[in-house]
Amino acid sequence: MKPISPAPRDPRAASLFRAAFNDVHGERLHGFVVMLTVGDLAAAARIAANVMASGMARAAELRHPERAAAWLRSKAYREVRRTAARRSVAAIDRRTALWQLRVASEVTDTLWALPLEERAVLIADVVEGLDLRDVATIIGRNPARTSAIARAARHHYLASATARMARPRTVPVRAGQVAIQIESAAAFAVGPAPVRTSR
Amino acid sequence: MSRSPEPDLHQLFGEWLTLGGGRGRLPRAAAVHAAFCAECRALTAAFDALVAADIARAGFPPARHITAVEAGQPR
Repeated sequence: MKPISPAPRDPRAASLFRAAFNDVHGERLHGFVVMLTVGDLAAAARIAANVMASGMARAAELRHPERAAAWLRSKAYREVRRTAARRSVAAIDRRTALWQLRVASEVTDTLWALPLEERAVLIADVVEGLDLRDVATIIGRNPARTSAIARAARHHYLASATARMARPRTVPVRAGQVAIQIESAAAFAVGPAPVRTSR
Repeated sequence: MSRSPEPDLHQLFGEWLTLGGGRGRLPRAAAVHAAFCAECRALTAAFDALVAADIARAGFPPARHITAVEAGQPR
């Protein structure tokens, strides 16, 4: 992402600048909080809106998109930890909310079972692909500790999700980027199927 | 007696995914092993299911919340 240009002084231009900041960060921040709260849509909307309002007020200081994304998520993470970590939402509502983001029910249930800090790291690291230092900013830890938490989070997630996904399911899992990578390697190693020639 | 390389490839793939987060180069032999190993394929499916999440589909947070906060009104 390219850095946003400095905030203008003209009020109308400043308003457009805040709108641009919202365009760049609004949807993804909201999605991050929906996943972090595991489908608590009411809390996610409130927290994402509050954090976006804070961010838009400081848009001039948050011109670098990746650093701004980390700043916004760190505020959202603290707010979720303070107010929404243990709110009661029916499992079916959680699954339905995350299904809108193309998250399978087994993944939703697994995320809900993880500690909030590991969940935040998984979303920022695996789903969003953020840099380690940005993930560290989000959870307020140093990079070495964040790296250890990320390893533990992936281990806990994979152990739990594979067990849940081993049960019979009605919706097939689509091949993703890792599946395509290993299948391509296997196809290359095995080689092309022999071509039949007719006499 | 030579040792079978299978357990090492299995471990290598698991570490690449769990410790490395699926980043960096995956040795081809480990990838080939994973393609035919049920346990590795299960790990792959679980990891890919998380990567498949599309958070931008959440849409923008409701504008009325942002407008109210910007105007200093109670939330």
